[in-house]
Amino acid sequence: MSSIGTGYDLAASTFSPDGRIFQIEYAQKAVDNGGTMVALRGKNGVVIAVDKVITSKLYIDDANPRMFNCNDNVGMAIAGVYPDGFALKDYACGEAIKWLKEYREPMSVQKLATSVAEYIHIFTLGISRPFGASAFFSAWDKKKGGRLFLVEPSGLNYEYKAWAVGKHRQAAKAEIEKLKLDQLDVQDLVREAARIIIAIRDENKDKDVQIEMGWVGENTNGKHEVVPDDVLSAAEDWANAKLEEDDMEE
Amino acid sequence: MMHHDELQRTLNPTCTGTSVIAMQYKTGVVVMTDRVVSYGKTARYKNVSRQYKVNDNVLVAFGGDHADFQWLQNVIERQALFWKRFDQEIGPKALHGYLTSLLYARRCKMNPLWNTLIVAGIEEEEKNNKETSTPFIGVITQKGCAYQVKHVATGIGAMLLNQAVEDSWRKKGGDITRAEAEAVLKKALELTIYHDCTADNDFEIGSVDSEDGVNLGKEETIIGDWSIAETNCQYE
Repeated sequence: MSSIGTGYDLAASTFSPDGRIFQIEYAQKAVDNGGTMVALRGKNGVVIAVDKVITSKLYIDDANPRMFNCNDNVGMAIAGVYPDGFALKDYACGEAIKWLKEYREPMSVQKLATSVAEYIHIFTLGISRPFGASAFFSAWDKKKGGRLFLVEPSGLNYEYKAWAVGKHRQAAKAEIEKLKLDQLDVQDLVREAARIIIAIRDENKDKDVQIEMGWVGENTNGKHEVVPDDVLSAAEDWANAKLEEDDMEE
Repeated sequence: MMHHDELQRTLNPTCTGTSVIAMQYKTGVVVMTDRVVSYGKTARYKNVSRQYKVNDNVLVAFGGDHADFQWLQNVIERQALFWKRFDQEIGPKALHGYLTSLLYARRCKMNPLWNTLIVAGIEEEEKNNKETSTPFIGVITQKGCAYQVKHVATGIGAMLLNQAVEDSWRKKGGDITRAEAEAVLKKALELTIYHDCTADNDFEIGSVDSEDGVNLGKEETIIGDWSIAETNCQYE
């Protein structure tokens, strides 16, 4: 790494001579090395799935979840360093309550993503170190349809049709591009997300992993929820069967 | 003349709701309020609900200042959202405790919330176990004085109705059905429209049941028996 030893990577407030901020690039690496997270927007909803790394067998089931609600309508999924992501989630929930106090209506997904992005930027530059975490924000309503945002450690905030972050993001994005997303309903998205995550796993390295999903769409009446266990395991069964079938054809 | 560091408090509520009447039955709670908000003694706003659904287990009804209650609705809404961050739904007991502290703190600041609140609901001892869940009615007065009851009438209804409501309750030995509880409430409402000039004959009965959850009642009307008016000598 050319940045090390130059002195330009010691603070997030220092630019390198060619205009890069190495501290932020390191933080981005923390997300890049984490469990793969796939987010898909279909015709009537949004699904986010993560291949969660289980770091100890002693944890209880569903420990350290990565799917959350900011309010009833907006889902948030955190990728990367867990405590950093959790701090972002706490901030987002606080903002949602503040919004409800001031405007007496639920905060929108776009407002939440923007607010978290701004917080990340200010915190990184002026307060402490970068966040080693990224956050997806998802929502669906009848008028605007599905919406999906990703906020990155740099404070960048884009809206996507679909995206992937984490370890196998390149392979995941290649798979996503093959999908006809605007024809898929929420149930299809759950299955396809499970298939992509299982397909791109490294059988030898990714051992203690578990899929966790969140969904929001017409089927949940615009409320974001963690996908129930029975739906999830049905999707995994479908994905495994589908992948086996594909192998046979080859 | 006011000194510069003095401040004046609101000494009277403006737009108000009158009595709330609530009663427990075997598996739930029924709450009755009329649907008028008064400005002094004028029936200023008709067809206004005085009940607020918090979630599937809790209902809050109010008497007193309507503006304060609208403010409280937002406080409650935020508290419910706060609980959801920890994957929990706020229960009637906890909300009753929270609102008690809030109303008491406000009166200690010499700036009370001008409401009598009824927190009604189903208290779940264990999540999703209907066997162990119990009906709950909690009252909070303007000054933060709080208590739990099996049945209650607030406001001017406390003077007029508590005895009548309690008599009906005891006649059934405390073991009454939902239909019987609703009948008692309706009889009590009939008494308020005779005696309380700010009470209205348009009303609603909300309920919280361990099976059905919260149901905000439909608007209903009662006529009553006005034949006795013939013998009233005060008007022609």
